[in-house]
Amino acid sequence: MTTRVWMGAVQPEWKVTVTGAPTDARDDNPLLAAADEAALVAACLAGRKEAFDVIVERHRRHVYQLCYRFVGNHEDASDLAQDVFVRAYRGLRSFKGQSSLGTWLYRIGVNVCLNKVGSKTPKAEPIGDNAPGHFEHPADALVRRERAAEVRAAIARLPKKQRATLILRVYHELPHEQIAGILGSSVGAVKANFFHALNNLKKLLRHA
Amino acid sequence: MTHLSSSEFVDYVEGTLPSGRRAHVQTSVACRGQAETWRERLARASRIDAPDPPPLF
Repeated sequence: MTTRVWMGAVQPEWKVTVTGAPTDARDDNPLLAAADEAALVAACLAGRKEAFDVIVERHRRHVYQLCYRFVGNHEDASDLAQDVFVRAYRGLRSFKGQSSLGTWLYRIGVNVCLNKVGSKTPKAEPIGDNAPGHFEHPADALVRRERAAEVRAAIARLPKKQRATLILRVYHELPHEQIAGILGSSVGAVKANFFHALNNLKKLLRHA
Repeated sequence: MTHLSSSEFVDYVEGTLPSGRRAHVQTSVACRGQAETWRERLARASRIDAPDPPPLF
């Protein structure tokens, strides 16, 4: 028996429990699954909640990973990602389509993450660093994990805009123009923040 | 010729700096050194991955 977590968060009075294998939102309505962003938003606003399932399905990976980058552990990343979708659902009427839905969700995500985590060092899990595909000596694995944790902790201590810029550029590989749209900055400011983020990272790392 | 600005450093490392300014990096030891250092930091930061969300999220 499984529970679809985010739905309960969007409609707190709902307790949705799914018996058996989880269903994919795309299975519920093939027309919605193929719909473009504008149609999905319009369907949501018209009261078709299943359209929001499709939006979540399309964006959950990026939103979760964005949150994970900020907090470094699954529990907090899940909570923050839920919060992002709750805010998106409640604020959908304010989405006017000037940017893509993805950019809009990133914007909500960055704001949620920066507000929640502030400048705290994340409670990082010992996973998430790129493990090599071949056998690795335990001592090497330990050093690699420690260094990954050190980089995460250093990123967590960067000033907010530098931190967000680094995450969006390095890990989400977004173009500078899109990052500027998400952060409400100019492209020049994004590049300057990116530059200073990496410079500051050097100062914050013990083993550079 | 003036050294690269912070914005130009980003363009240089990402391969989008115009050729005229790129040529400056070849002649400036300071800019070349800083670009290399910056590249190394970028590579180090890039090595940290994030997991996929669990299926029921």
